[in-house]
Amino acid sequence: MAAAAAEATTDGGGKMIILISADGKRFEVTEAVASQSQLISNMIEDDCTENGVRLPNVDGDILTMVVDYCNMHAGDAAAAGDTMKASSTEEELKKFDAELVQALENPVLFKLILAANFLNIKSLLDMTCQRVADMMSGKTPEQMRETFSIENDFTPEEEAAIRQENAWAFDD
Amino acid sequence: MAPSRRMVASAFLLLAILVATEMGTTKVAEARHCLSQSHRFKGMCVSSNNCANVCRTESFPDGECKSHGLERKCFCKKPCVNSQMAGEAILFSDDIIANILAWLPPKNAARMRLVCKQWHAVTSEHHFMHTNFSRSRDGHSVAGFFLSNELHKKFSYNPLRDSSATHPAAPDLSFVPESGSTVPRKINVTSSCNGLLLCRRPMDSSVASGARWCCYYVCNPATKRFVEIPTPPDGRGRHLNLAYDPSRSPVYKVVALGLAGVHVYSSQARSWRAALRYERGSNPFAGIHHSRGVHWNGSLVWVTSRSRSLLRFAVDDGEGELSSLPMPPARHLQPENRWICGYLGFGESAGAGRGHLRMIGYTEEEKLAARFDVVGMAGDCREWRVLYRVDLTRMKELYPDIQRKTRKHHLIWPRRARLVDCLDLWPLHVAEHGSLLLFGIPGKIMAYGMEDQAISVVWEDAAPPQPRFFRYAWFDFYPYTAGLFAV
Repeated sequence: MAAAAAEATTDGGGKMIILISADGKRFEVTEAVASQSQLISNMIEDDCTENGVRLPNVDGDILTMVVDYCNMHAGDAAAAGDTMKASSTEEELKKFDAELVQALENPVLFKLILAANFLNIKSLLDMTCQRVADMMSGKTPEQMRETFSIENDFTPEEEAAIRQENAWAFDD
Repeated sequence: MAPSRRMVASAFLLLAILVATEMGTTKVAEARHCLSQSHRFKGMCVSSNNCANVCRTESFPDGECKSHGLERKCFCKKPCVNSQMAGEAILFSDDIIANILAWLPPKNAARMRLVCKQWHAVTSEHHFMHTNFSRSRDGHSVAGFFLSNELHKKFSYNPLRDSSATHPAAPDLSFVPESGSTVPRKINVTSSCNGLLLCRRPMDSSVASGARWCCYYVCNPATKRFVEIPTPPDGRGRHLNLAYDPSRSPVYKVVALGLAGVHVYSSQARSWRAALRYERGSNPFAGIHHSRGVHWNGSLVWVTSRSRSLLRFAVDDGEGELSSLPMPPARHLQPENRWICGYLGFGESAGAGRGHLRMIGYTEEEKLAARFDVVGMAGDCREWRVLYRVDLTRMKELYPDIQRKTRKHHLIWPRRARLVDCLDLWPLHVAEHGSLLLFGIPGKIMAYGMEDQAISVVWEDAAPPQPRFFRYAWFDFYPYTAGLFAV
């Protein structure tokens, strides 16, 4: 993906691609930025981004965040040649990433995960998933069901068996 | 028949191209299908129709049979588009749940098995456990280490750093069963491989006679699970080595070097089989320096005595194949100033590629100067390259006691001994993707940062001062990181 991004920037910044959110908002981004999404990168390869790409399950406000993220990270490949610049941007990127997910409420964070998964942007998906995991630390399974609105589909016997099987995980 | 079908196909293609160019519509990004293993489908999946029907009862629109490891299982299918929020509730696909839970420390991840069937199924997959293991040790290749020396009856576990998050308690091996004829509470580690240990309990010589060792166990100290490894076909008392690479397979193997052959135990077959035979007089392993092999790149590697060469036994591909690896160049050609191997180990590389075989070796001068190289060999077995140059000269100022004189006996006239210089400093392990060297001095284990040359104490022996001749060597040092892997 990085190689593809570098290629696009070397031949003059690359073409522009229009992404259209579920609620009709349009975002114009360079190919290098958009191809961080494996889904769109594949579409670029197949040459079917001519008239814009509609993303029927990504809302405008979520897509704004995704585009911000991709704009920020598209610099990775471009800056790689200049080590001084790369190290400073690496710090900036970390800060940007932390701020992006830090402030999010659960429902928005979950939507961002779904968007990252759908668009297949691995780094964004890993980062958002890690953020959810961080928030899980120290929580009980009961609290997790609440957070994720998950129904307990175990019978009491099954639950007891699993608790016994994993007793080592509950011993403190 | 065939040509007409081809014509229909090309007509369709042409039509499709025409439609596509003519309409010039915006392209809708197509969602992938999200798969989730059916919770209600029991047994092997043969008919996708049946599977789909069961899936419909689980509020999925469709389902299909898919190969999953060795079995065919029923997977329910829906467009990922639909895994949107339905009100406040959210339906994440198995992939996303696995991604989230794999970031948790292993123990916390195991607790989440109680949440629901999906989470239980996801966290019980080997692939999940492997992702979780690689992430939990990201940046820290080792959480702690066992020091195990049978001869000197030493055994302890020591965290490498404040790892209270990943290791709330030191792994405790008391769950490994004892028998009437074993020494109570005594256990030794003989291999440590990616979260699994191979341990054995010594026999109580006052109770039993004959075998020194009772039983070998492969165990996971994190999950407190163990499997007893049956006695190898050619008898007890053999030294066994564990070979486990979770990135390749959930199956581990145990390799037993015997007098007349090598036997390999596989966790899949749960039994031993002969992998290599040799005549008693021509045992290629007779000359190994220490029975502990290093698991690297689908094989076990041993150093032969006097550091002449490396012996490699293939465990994965081409099981049973024996070959030798070269020593670092020109080192072994110095008979008057012998170069000896002070450490051999496996190092995971930072990238996804196969790790390096790492070695530390030195001549006597280099050892006395506390300056030596860490060399590495990539998976292609082509050449040794210098990875780091270690300079521990400072240690002599910090701990002057490590410089002493020792008696060196004459080769032919044992009584004609002379006093020579000696430095009590021994490499033990190269950790953290090669950036950290752990080494021992009497009573202490220390860390040396290869990049910043920082030196720190990571372990101090609480026991009273040891006799001078005792020291931990690299083969007494067993790095450990907790994982969820099944035994």
